Amino acid sequence: MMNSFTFGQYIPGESYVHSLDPRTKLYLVVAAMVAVLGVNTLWGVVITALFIAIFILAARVPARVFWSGTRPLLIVVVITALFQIFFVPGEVIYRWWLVTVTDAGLKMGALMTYRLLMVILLAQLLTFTTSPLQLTDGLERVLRPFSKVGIPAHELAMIMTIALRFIPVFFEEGHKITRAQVSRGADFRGGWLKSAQNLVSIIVPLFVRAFHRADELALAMEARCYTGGEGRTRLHVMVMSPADYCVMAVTTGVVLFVILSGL
Amino acid sequence: MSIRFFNVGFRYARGLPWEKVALKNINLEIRRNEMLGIIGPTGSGKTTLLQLMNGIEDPSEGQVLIDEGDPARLRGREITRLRQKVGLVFQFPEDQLFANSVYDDIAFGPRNLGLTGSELEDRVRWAMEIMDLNFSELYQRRPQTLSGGQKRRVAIAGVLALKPDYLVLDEPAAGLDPEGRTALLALVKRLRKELGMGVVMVSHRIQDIISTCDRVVVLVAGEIVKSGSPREILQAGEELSEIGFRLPPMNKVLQELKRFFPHLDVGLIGEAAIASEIDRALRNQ
Repeated sequence: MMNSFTFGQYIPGESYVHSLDPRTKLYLVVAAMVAVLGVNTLWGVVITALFIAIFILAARVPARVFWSGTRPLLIVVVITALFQIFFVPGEVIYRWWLVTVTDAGLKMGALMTYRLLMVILLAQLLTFTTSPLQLTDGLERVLRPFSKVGIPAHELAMIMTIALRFIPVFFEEGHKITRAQVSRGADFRGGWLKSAQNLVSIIVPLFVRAFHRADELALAMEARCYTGGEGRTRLHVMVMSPADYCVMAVTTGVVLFVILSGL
Repeated sequence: MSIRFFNVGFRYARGLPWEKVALKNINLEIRRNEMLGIIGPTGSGKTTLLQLMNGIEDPSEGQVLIDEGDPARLRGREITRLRQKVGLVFQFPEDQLFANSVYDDIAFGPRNLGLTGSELEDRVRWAMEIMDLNFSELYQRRPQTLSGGQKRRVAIAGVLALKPDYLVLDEPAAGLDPEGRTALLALVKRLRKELGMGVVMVSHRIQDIISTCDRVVVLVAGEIVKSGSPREILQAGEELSEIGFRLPPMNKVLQELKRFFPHLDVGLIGEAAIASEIDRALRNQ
């Protein structure tokens, strides 16, 4: 059953961004995040915003979907911004009782809001346009060179695939158990002590189910002779197209420009 | 006193690309002292319908009234009180057992209602008795050490301990062995007979429903396509087979024989009744 939980969902589509190689998208998103976290001036904001907007528009995912994924995280953005506004020292613009607002604080607040929003949007752009399987395949490929120094690329990717695969399952299960306990009179809006006690009635069954599932999955994998990454071939071989190289080159260019010019 | 649905519709994920209409245009009344069965294939909206019955979901269109109270308009304590009237037993309810002892798990609901001391113990004892669980033998046991059928009954006792006026069960016999299935259905039947509860039961097995319920509703793709007594439902057996329902084997035989014996009564329930009907038809020939 699909519910209104959007963040991290894959939205199947045929757009230009969907068809990019997952490695390209990983690179694009990480590089753009670096650029966004590095900008300090209005021009930097404008350039990075334009650059990201192009890809978000090209993904052809409805704005509503981006919004419903962002909304739950807005509280984090607002709190971070308020911290910056009230606690960054600088020239005082406004003072009332213990509260002081400085010019540097306002600037940092605005910048932090922008950075966090862009990071959230980029993360969503990646998950909306890349199926979990593609995503972990891409990660595995990116990590493969490091397996020489002992990083188990395949195993890490497998762990991620399983985790991603089961997040919605756990959400749904948690949802179902919560409802069952609510219909037995559990109250999660009352005092925090009572709520904490009632929380046990959800967490315990959820863990029990999780361990059961883990056992079952391990058995099922062993029964199918799963032995890890060694000697394993792939059904879908990833191939970089000219478009992928093009996007990577442009991304590199924009990010280097923004960082090196100190915008 | 009844639970009533007026033109109820329900959608999941409103406004998102994966929006889904789960129910449309549902009109339904569930009275106390009545056993209503709901049958429908997977994804027909059965579970959603049940969740609307105790206000755990609010309808997207129309109105649901529980004994004249509208759960969509109530808040806080009042809705808790309204929900207590309608006990909801989810599918595989044993997944929700969490306490260290059978006693504590069943006492969870009544404790939330504020019961303590001997009153609480009486309530737990009562619920266990109804579900055919031996109190002195089982109350200290860890739920995880019980058999599947026992766990299921402990979970249902945990809902019964709220003393609801209505009990709503989602596939109560799913995953049990044939023996456990028969035993559980017999217990459910007793709830209505001895306690006068309104009981709603969902199943995709027609057999379970027609042998226990007074009235049957057939749900297909979120709409009620048929309702009536088990007899009436069986008489429309051909229609149901076309939609993809599987009739009880004996009724399937009757259905097939009707082609040769047009006067055969296909609305019969139970093997004995069906056997004597076939016998009669053969003799008359």
